[in-house]
Amino acid sequence: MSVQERITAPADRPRRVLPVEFGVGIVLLATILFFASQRPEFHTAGNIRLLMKQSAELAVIATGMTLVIATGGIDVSVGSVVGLSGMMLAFVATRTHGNLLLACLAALATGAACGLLNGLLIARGKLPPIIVTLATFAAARAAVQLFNNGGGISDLPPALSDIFDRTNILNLPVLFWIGLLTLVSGWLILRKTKFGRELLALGGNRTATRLAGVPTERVEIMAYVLCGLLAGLAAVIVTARAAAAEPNAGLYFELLAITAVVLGGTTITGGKATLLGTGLGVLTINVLVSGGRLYGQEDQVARFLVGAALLLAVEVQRARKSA
Amino acid sequence: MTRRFKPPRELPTLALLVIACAVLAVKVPAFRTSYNLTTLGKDAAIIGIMACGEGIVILSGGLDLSIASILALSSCVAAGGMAAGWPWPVAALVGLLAAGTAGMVNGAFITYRRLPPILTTLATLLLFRYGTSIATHAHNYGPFPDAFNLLARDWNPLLILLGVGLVLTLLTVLTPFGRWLTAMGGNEQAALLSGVPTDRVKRVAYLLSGLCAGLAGLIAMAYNNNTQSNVATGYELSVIAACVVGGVAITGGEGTLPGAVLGALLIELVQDALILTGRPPEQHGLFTGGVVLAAAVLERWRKVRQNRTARVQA
Repeated sequence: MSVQERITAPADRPRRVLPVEFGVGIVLLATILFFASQRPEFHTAGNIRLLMKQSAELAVIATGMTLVIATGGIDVSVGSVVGLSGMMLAFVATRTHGNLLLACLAALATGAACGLLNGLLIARGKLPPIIVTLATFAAARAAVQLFNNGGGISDLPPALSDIFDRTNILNLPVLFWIGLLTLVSGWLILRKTKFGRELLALGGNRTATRLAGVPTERVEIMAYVLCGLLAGLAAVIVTARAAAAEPNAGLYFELLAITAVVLGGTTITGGKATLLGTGLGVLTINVLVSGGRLYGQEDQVARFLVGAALLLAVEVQRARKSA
Repeated sequence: MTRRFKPPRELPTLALLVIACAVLAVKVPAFRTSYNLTTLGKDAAIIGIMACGEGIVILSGGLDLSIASILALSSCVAAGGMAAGWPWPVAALVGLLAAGTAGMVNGAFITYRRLPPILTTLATLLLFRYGTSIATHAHNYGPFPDAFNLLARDWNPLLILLGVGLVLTLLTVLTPFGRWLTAMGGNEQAALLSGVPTDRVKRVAYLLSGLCAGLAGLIAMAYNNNTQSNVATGYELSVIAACVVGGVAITGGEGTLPGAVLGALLIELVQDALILTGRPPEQHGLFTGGVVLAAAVLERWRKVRQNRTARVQA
């Protein structure tokens, strides 16, 4: 084939390319089939319900992470923000004698405030996202220690766990619906709104987007605020499921969320994002963790596997690009 | 046109370090005790040696998040060797070898497979740390032979830091490798087109980073006289902070290794001051985070000014 042909070939006959989510879908199916065939406990209704609940927090965080990565940025502070927002929730709940609405709003506001701080420093201050969020990662985790002398807070109103952990809608756990709803809203924002298009444009080519008249700074700040807000929502879920706020809550969430996003097929350099992929990525990680536990393995093995899955996911992404 | 004097990038860090030292020495008597100073020296050596390796990687335009995990890997391999009855020099060497291999794994993924450095080293952060944990069953090793522990006695860690810093600084200043590093960090495409073997340089950079982390692991285990797979969790943050504080631009291409070492000294000095004034160690992150942000803002300001003068001159 001559050089000329190679340049014009794609325009003449568009090549059929598998959807981005194909790879993660296969991996998910394979892991599910593996565990289901090896362990009869895996596909019991109880375990599947547990899996749905466990996936909610990561689904929520990974949705926010997808938006941030779509802009070409990264937010490694989400895990610490979950810890801080959870503490704030418990703090407000105990101080207001169990006003749950106020407590949950405080958690969401804390998350959004952390996101705003990140966004302002990154978009207005023109500082590298990895450095800014690394700094808030350290600062937020340290700020957790300012509550209750660094101890956890466990005397929470039982209604919190009742609402989030033990309620069903259409016979499915409410947490499942929260996770699904977040993913779908993220998809709607990304695909159906002007903001979503601007977000993807920003990740694709920053200068071109600015020159096209898009308020890039505002869009970028908004992405980090949403990511922080969702970290606050995840904090509500985590605290409700543990029935306590723990200083270590959310540890390693950033790693898991980034892995889920990249595993799903969102490009780490920005401009292209898929929330369907993110959802499948979240499920894959949780199936791995849950399956590992069925084998009586500790979480170390699951974390090791997550690391391997991340490498594999990036590798697959690279293979798709060069194909 | 007269050339204006341009202050070196490391000057603010050095000035702050000297002032902080002077204030602490006068105000806090506990600071001057030899126990405090040698402990500080040990901490600064562990972070500083890793900062030299990380500095090389960042200069080349990359990032290595896996160094703390490599530290754990090398110390556990060396400790496992000693527990198995190997003579300590052999065990230590094998530990270093493991660290070098880990660094080469990073470099291989980043160059042969063209994976983004952040993601690669994020993945190997998990793989090395939890691989070590699985392989050792989170076993706590120690004590070690006295001859080995000499590595971390009194001022020895600081001397090692000086040696490593000197050798690596000379490497970056005097050899083509050093010039290639900064050229790549400035503009990798341009460097590649002007004949720099960019992939080879990257592989060496990640190898050196791994070796530095391995050496730091040996010092840490010698000082504590025990080690475990969860040792030094989260140190990668302090090391990156040290580099940024020492004036190494996180985007690559600008900065020096002595700067990174000064940054490590400053960060550890601040931690020491916080401990001496009775702040719980869990809260130190608030301060480290602040210092990193301040350094990033300073870097940004420097770039804005640079652009402005460039435009005026043009």
